[in-house]
Amino acid sequence: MLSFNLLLTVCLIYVAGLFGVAFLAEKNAKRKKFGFFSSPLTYTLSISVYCTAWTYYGAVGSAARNGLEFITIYLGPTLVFIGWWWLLRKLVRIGNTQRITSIADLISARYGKSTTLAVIITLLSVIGSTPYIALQLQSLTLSFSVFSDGFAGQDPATTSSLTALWAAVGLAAFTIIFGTRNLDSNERHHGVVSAIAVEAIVKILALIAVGLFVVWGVADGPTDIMSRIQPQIMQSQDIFTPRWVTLIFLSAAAVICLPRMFQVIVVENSDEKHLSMASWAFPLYLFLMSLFVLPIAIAGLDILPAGANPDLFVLTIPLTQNQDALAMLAFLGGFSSATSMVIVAAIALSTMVSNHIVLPLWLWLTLSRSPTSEDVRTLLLRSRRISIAVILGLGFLYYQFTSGTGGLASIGLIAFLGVAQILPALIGGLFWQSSTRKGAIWGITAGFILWAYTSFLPSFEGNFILSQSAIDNGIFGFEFLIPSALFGVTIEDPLVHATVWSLGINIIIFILISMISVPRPIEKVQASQFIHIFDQAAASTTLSRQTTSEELHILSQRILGHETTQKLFNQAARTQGKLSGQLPDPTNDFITNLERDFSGSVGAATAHAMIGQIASGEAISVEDLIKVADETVQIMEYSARLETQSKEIEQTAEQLRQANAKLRELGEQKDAFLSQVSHELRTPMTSIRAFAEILRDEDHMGKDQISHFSSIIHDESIRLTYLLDEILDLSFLEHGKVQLKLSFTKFDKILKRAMNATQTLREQSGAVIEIPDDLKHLVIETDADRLSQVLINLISNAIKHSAADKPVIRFNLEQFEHTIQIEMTDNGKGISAENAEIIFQKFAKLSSEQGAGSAGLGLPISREIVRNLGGKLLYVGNNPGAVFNIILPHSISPLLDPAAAIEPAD
Amino acid sequence: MAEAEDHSTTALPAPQPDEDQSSITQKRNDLAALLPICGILFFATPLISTITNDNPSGIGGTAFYIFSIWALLILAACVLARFLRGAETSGDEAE
Repeated sequence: MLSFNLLLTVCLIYVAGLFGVAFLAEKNAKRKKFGFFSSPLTYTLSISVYCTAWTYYGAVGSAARNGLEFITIYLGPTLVFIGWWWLLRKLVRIGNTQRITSIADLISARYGKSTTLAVIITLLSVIGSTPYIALQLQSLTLSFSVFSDGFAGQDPATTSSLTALWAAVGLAAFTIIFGTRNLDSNERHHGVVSAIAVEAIVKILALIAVGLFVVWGVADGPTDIMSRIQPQIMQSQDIFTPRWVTLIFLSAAAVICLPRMFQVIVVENSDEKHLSMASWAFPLYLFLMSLFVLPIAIAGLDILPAGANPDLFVLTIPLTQNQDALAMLAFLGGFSSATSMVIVAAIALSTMVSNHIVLPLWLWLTLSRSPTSEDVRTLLLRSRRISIAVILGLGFLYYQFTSGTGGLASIGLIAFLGVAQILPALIGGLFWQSSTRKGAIWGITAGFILWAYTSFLPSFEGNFILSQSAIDNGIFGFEFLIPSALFGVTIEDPLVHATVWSLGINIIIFILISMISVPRPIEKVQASQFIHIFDQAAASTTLSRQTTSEELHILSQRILGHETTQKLFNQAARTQGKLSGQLPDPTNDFITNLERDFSGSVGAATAHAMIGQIASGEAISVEDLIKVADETVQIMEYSARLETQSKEIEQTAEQLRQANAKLRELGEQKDAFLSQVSHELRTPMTSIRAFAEILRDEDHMGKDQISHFSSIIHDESIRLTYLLDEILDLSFLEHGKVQLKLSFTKFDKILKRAMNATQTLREQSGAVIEIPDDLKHLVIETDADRLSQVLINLISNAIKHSAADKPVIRFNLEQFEHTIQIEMTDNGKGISAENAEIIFQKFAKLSSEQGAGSAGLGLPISREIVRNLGGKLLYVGNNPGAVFNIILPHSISPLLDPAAAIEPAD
Repeated sequence: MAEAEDHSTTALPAPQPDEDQSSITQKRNDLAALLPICGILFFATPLISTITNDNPSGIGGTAFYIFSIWALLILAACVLARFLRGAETSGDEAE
């Protein structure tokens, strides 16, 4: 039998060795010489912190009680790891790019850097982990007690309490020394991880050694062992039960959601490639861990006296066979399992407590003062050390409170279900764009309450909050509130019952509230960053803020320390093209990077709050959102590049086709115009030629006749010149090349000129023109000659085309702030709808009649003149005769400023 | 059944140089999903009962079933990890 003192000595030597390994790893990490301590193997081994004393001792106990059920605890993580490509890879990538420090940090960062969520998850984790830590202390004391049985003169209860206390103190010391040496912006602990890796090797070697001894030392090989199977193990033959599936699911959830697992898998991951090795090596580790569990359980039940604690078979079998060295190794294996779990859990929990509870509280308390008035670094380190001590203290208290509880497994499973409440929000956050902060908060809270009621509180067996009668008969005697049969739902297994209720309600509430609540802008930004993490070349949360570099510098020194700050700021200054020694400009990129670095030390939510506090106008600008949206669009375009390209080509072809059609149309218009022009010119030309030929060829012609023919030629030439002038004029007007003679003129004068020019026409038709007095007295700045040309045109058109016996043309004036509107109405039959469309077209001859001497250019020219005068000429309809509106500015000069473009006529 | 699943992972087609990059990514992702689905199929469905209940050797047979599937899954995961990492690095270079 090993003496207790020898055991203690070996233990101390072993711990000293761990100190040495941690110290060496830290030293190497500082010199950037990583080697073994940063290899994928170390990463994989550190993940084995999953195998706690519960798995080390408890698995054998579970196998002895329930047969193969223990294996589910290993199968869940195996499934998660062989599916690493889908979930773990994404988690690790997000953890590295967003500088995530804990699972609470991840969830809070995803849902808009919410402090509330971070606090809820921190509390949930602490409450869920405390029993788990107590469990490790219990297994430590149990294993010590095996050796101290012969320790006379001491009360066993006092001894175990003392052992637990010393274990807690020692673990706290180790964790504080290596877990809170400095504030790394990546929150990585090379020393601790290396020590954990060494412990992982020890525990697997120990278990395999005991297993080999049992199979070939105690029994005569595998067949002999299998022949010794006891009936109680055989009982559980149909293993596929709701409990089986639930256990696989819970252990799969736990390997992601347990704070310590998240710490080693995501936070301590220094290289994403390590994950690909862990994807098969960690399941292999679990495989080897469980390979000998069943043989050890069978052998223990066979050779040890009835009533021996099956949880301690790993230790007691070698001891009873007088294999002291093997027993010592087995003890160290259990010791390693317990200590590594407690150390990592304490680090993970203390990070969460200090980042998400202490620091926000401190920020809130110092809100009125400058946020840099105290040293954040010191505060963080101190709060972490205190948190570690408090967490281990809680574990110890829980152990004292519940000492003597039954199997180890039940406590572990309760913790699993507790942290599994985070799973819906986590998975939703990674894959579901519409999940919101409110949904996550309410889902987790509801799940947490149901878990506490159906699983956690009943585990105290009536000693804490819920009395035994409440557990048996429901709270206040309400039967539908019986914790193990909520609302009358009777599921035989209490764990399955609790899982269905807590996770079911959690998921339903999470989805429902997410669907009815609207995410804040920052949630949307974070959501797309998390969900599309693999599609983003460089994730950028650009937040528009106004702050000074000095303030950022001071804050950064407080959080990251002088050296790191100097390095960061110099680098940023160089990137911005500044001299070294100058402070960089507080650009969005710089602030975002800085915030990310802060996140590594204090968590995303707190870093966000701190930067937000010194920077005014903390909000995401619309541009930033558009940028994010653009990025998403780019990604989608990238994935469907071929499709897009072919579409683009199609579009280009379509555009070309349209351009071609337009060109053809323009060409046709030009042809039509030319043919019209030549037609118009041809008519007078023909008569000129004909009469010129007559004059040339006819010798005997009377003087009168010669004079008549000559005057026809003369008139036709004038008409031709007039026509050419008009075409030229229209061309000038259309291209804005016309010279305007501007002056302030009384409208009366313009009207008189128009009346004179149309006098013959008016007298012939007997037309009457009514002009109101206000129009006569109106004075505007315009080109009087041009405007009178327009009026002449309109009046003669009205007389010519009006079918009335006695045409009446009525003018009206309306004045506005900057413009005047002259309305001209006649009493004719108006313009038909068919003609209304073409009256402003060149050479338009109205279908009903032929205007003598008109080439159809009058209205187009008038319209162009009014446009050149800064106004519009509009045909507004029939009332019943045609109504034309001339809209003109009071004064045209300001409009001639080239900067103010003249609006073209409709 | 386990052998068939293992076979499908080892005999996966090597990415052709002229094959479209996005289709390679798609295949890679599908393949990565196959393994956990197989795992769930073998471990967390009634399949585990139908196979093991017929076994006269009881718990020993069940344990043998679980451990052999487990070992095959680990082997397949090892091969898959190698392939995925290779695909990832070549994909990165292509980008």
